Amino acid sequence: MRDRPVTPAPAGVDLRAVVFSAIGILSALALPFVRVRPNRVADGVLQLIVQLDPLAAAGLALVWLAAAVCAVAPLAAQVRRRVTVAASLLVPFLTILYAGVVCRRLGGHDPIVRISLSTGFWITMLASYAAYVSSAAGQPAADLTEGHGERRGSILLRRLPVVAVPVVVAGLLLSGLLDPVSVLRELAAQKKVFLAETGTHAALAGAAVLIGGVIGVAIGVRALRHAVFRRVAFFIVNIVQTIPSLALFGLLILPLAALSARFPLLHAWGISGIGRAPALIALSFYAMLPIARNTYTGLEQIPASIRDAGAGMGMTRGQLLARVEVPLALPLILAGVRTAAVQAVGNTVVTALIGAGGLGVFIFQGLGQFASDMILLGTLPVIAMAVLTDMLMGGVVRAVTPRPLREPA
Amino acid sequence: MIRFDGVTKAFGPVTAVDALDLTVHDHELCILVGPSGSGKSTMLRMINRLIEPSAGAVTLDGKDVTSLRPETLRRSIGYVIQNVGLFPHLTVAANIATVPELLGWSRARISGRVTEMLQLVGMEPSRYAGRYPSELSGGEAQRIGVARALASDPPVVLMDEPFSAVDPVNRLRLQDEFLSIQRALKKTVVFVTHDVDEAIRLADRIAVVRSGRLVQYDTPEQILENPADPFVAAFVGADRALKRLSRFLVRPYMHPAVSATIDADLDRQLRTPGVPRYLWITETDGTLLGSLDTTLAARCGEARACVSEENIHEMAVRPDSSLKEALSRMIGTSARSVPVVDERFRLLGEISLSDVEVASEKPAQVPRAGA
Repeated sequence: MRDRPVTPAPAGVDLRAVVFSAIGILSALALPFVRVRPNRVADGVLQLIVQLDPLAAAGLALVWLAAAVCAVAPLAAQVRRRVTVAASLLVPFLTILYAGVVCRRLGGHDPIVRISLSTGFWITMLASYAAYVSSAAGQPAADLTEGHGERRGSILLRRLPVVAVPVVVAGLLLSGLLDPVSVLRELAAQKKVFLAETGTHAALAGAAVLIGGVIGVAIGVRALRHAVFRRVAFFIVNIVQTIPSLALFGLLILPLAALSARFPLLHAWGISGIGRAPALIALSFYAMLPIARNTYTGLEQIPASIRDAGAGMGMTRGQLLARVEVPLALPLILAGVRTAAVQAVGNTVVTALIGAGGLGVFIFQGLGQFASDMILLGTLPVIAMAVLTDMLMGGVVRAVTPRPLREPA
Repeated sequence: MIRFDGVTKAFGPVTAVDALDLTVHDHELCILVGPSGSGKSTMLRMINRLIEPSAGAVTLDGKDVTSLRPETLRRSIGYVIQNVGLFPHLTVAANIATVPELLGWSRARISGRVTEMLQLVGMEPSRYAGRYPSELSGGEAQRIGVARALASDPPVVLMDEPFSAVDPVNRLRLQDEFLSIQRALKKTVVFVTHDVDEAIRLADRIAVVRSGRLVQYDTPEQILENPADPFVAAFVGADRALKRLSRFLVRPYMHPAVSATIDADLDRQLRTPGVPRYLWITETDGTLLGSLDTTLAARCGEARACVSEENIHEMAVRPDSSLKEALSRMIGTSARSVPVVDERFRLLGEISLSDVEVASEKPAQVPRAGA
């Protein structure tokens, strides 16, 4: 480790921290924090923190002020960074906690009252995230290479929110503090249906990726060996990809209904013109393309000399595929699965329209009833599911990539 | 023994190999050489059935290669290619273990064999076994390619331009190393190259190929001495007489050197009548110091001061240098005779232009350089 100077030179004014702090103070003092509605469809009343609780507003503003002062004062970059990071982590924690307190106070006694978080809350969160990124994650790489201890600390700091945010959110949800928040009120009212539809959503998307994956990989492998097959298969899959999902459902209704009417066994299995069967077929088709294309690309980019060496040493086609081609193409194939899975989570929303269920049920019901809380009840878990899928698959891709082929972290 | 019997291969309208008859003898290094597109790679790849002939048959030890499953056949034949084709996701050890694994060897036997193979190609097993191909230099990768091909101890090895992608300095090193491995293992090797010098350096027998036909099949000496037609003559080059010298060693043509030791006795030796004009001068322990022109020595006050040391390192050759190198040093230093020294630079003898002339008039079938 290189020796660090004993007294680090003070840096100039950190303009970014000042700007973010100003935004933070402004939103704490002048923007509405919550909207309170006597019931689900009534108009709401906007409330500022200052109106609710002048002390809390002053507290938040003081934390921001401290960060701003440090950004201007002649302090070492190291010290300043720590203050900004501390402030940017403290503010959201306090804000969420305070939101819980407000919700309980304003609506805890009455299950009809709906409270939504308003611009003041969201801007505060955004400002602290921006301050955090500009101080911790945004620091130049040269800073990070100062020494191993420093580097490890910084990486930890950067990964902190990935762990901390879900933990804090989950803790708050479990504590019941946020129960009066309107979305959660909606959830409480429909808990059973919500859990069932979330399960359906995940199952539909998962099954589609599984089916699309098996067929997609098969297409990709076969496309590599047969040029004619490749052209025909990718032509068809590309065409299907351009059909809007609703139109595809429509296209599937007639043939499936006819099949179901013709063969009682299919009907007994629950296959009909609407419902899960057409939904699954369409979703599988959409999942197929990225997987088929990535499988083909992943296999095709393997140098001919490697294939020649494998065949020349006496590998059968299957052995060549299993020992050489698939391991080399796997990162790209799984990247395709990642894309397909994230898309499937989103596409599954639409299948609610043909009676397949899923979280889209809440969204379309909410749209129909003009109930924004219900729309959110469908949307938020879809977003969470998509983000989680993406993170999970990202980790899987990294784990299966052979060490020498990995890009440096 | 590998035999091609009237083998023809046509790719659509193009005949890549045309009625080839060729016999590769056991334990010989046979090099197929010819311009690119002459069909030599196709010939090679028909031996392990990566390409199937349109007509005729390839036999291995009397058995038609098509009577075996391609995979079984290929596992009994070593295979080295130009771009190495190491598997980038596997370690060096796993790469070498490829064919033994396909053959179902036990784990212990495989790991012992991997160590043996790494030692054979001169790479420290503890350092290299766990590395990945991306962590190797071009020369190292090609050595692993050779180790991988030899891992199951196949009697036959096919090599398709194995050293072409390596830089010239490393190529010479790899060729030398491969020759010494081949001398120890005595495999039946079929080797494809477009580099005539490489063919002459390595081959026991050269097959010159042109437009899918075998033009001449003979020892390197014969091909250099008696090219079958103007094409072969042009292909081996106008300097074929010089190339031929690269097949002869200095050792059998050198003779004792006329030398004097640099001691108190030197001046007296120079005054004896009948002293030759040029003398090699050595230290008392035999180390070559330089040369002395005795006619000039008379004008020097002391003989020691007249010893010329300047060119001596450019002149000296070793007993296992080729005559081509000896001749090159004679021309380079304007000397009619150059000293032959051992590894510690002690004078062993000398070789002169007339010795080279004697060798160049000799018929073929003499021991080849390095043999």
